[in-house]
Amino acid sequence: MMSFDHPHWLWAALLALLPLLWHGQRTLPHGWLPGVPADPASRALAVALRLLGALAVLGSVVALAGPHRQGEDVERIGTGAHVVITLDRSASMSDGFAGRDAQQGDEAKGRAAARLLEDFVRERPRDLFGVVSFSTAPVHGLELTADHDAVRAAIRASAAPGVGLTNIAAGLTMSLEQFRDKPVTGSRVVLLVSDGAAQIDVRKQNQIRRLFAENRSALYWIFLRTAGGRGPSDPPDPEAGFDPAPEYFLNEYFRDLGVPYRLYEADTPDALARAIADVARLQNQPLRYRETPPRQDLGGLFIGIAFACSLLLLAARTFEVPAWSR
Amino acid sequence: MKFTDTLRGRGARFWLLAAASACLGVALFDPAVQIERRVGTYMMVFDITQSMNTRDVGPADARIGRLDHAKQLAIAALDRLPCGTQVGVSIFVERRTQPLLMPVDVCLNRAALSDAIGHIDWRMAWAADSHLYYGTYSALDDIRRMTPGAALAFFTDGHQAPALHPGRIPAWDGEAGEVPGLLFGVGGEQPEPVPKLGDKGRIDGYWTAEDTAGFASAGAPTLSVLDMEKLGGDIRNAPQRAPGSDNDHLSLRRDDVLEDLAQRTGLGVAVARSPEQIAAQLRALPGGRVADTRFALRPLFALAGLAALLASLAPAPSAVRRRAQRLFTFRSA
Repeated sequence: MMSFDHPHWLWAALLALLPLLWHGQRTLPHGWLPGVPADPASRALAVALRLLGALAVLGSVVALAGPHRQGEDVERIGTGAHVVITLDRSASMSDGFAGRDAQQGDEAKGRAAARLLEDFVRERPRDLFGVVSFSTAPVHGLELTADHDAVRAAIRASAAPGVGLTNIAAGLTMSLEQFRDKPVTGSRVVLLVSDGAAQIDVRKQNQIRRLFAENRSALYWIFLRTAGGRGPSDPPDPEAGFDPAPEYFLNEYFRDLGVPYRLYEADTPDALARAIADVARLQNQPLRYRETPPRQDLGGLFIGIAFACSLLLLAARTFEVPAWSR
Repeated sequence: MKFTDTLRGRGARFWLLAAASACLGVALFDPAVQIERRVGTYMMVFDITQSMNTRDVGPADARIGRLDHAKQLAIAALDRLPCGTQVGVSIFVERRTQPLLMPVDVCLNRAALSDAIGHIDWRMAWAADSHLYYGTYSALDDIRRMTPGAALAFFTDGHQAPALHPGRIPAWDGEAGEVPGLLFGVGGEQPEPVPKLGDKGRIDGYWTAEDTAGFASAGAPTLSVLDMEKLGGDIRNAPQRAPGSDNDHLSLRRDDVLEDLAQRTGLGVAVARSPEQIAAQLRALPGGRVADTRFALRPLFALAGLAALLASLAPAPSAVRRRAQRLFTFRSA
């Protein structure tokens, strides 16, 4: 379908009626018109010239309105995925990694994650990305989009120091909602990047389980271990008294979701880079995706029509006779 | 007959038509010039504290919340900023700002920008307090640290909760005017109750004086027991509220607070009224960079061609006069 940038110009299309009234030809007086024999060819030519004029006006008016066509989506087969990047922005993301050589002044977890995720997006030009972040409340960043500049801008924004708590349930719910009512044209992934966990109550657990099943999304959890903190693979220590170990139980819950799930524990930026590379490799399975062809400008076509018509009119005018020849 | 002979003696109509053809022919090649324009980078920060839910802005018969109003104005203002301008998005609550989107191009990334701004919601808040001074300083800090050279566009109603004690207003560590920007005031001029919204965005009730009195203001003077006894009365159990904050459950646009903030930080103050005004005031801010913008000449040539074409077809004034004359003689005969 054709659409217009400046549709109000189309009102000027009424000007195309003028050439039908004005022939614009040179007139020569003649002594006795009834004496001239009927000439159907001349009449046809007169009508044709008026129509040419009208068409030239119409062409330039339509061109002024900025016509273009937004192409239909084309389905292609390739490799790619729909990835909702779900970022923890709690206050602890500004702390450093847990790795053995960690020291003061190292890159903060949030910053390292943002840097590596940016590279991840850059290397996957065909994927659609959504961005959700969460601390105490979930924050919508971007809908699933092919605008990778914006996706990287949203990821960069997450490198700002965090605030508040780690409300994973709310973040996951919002991420999964992004898939709702969207066609399944690619494998779906929720890429959860967090440095902590929280207990999820039973009602929320069921809701998240249902959303994962409904939206057929895989889950990759990249866990950034804090110095002195524990990870999802450390079971709670019964000797240590009260030990809720939320990371451990959250991992158990995720494993039980019934969707493809992987856990990566990263305690250095290098480990994080390896985890992201692994996710990239896993997601390189063939899938169908839709590509929107770039918009097609039709202004040239209409100017071309107008130009051709006016050239024909000009040609006709060069054949005008300045006076009756004897 | 030579070609020059064909052209000799051609009237104005012929040359007009030739000019029209020439213009349309040039327009066919889509000519354009690169013009240099100064474009800015702006960080749009939205106050998402609960007072921004007060429905006292917009048309008189269809009041909408201050935050919704600010979002609408900001999205509409995007279309009035020249291509090449970059806009980022951030939210403010409690005493911090949280950037959601670093600056991106208003034309190339238009959809992403309106998506990010359109989804801003009071439920994104991680706390309920509203310390606007700290929030503004945090917004300026973000710019200094993450997007140097950008200007601030802060949409807020200036309402703070809990109120600050006079003389306990936090100072900014930067120089006034170091980061250019504007505080866009949003909200009505009459005190209005602040709604409490439920999960589905329905109004469940309004904040009452009792609700707000339950929160102590930061920076209350610390008195020893001796001081309290000296002052008499039941000071220990009296509400620790800043004087003059009895009506804090009602909210209006606090131009006085915005003015004071502006004085400390060198920012400008304006009431957000229309997208045109917001865009114009942002463009008038100092700073920015020079970017090349493509200025298409096709419409100009097409318009010139159209005018010349119509002129070449229009009947000559003398012909019109003659026809009118003929009509007149016919009638009188």
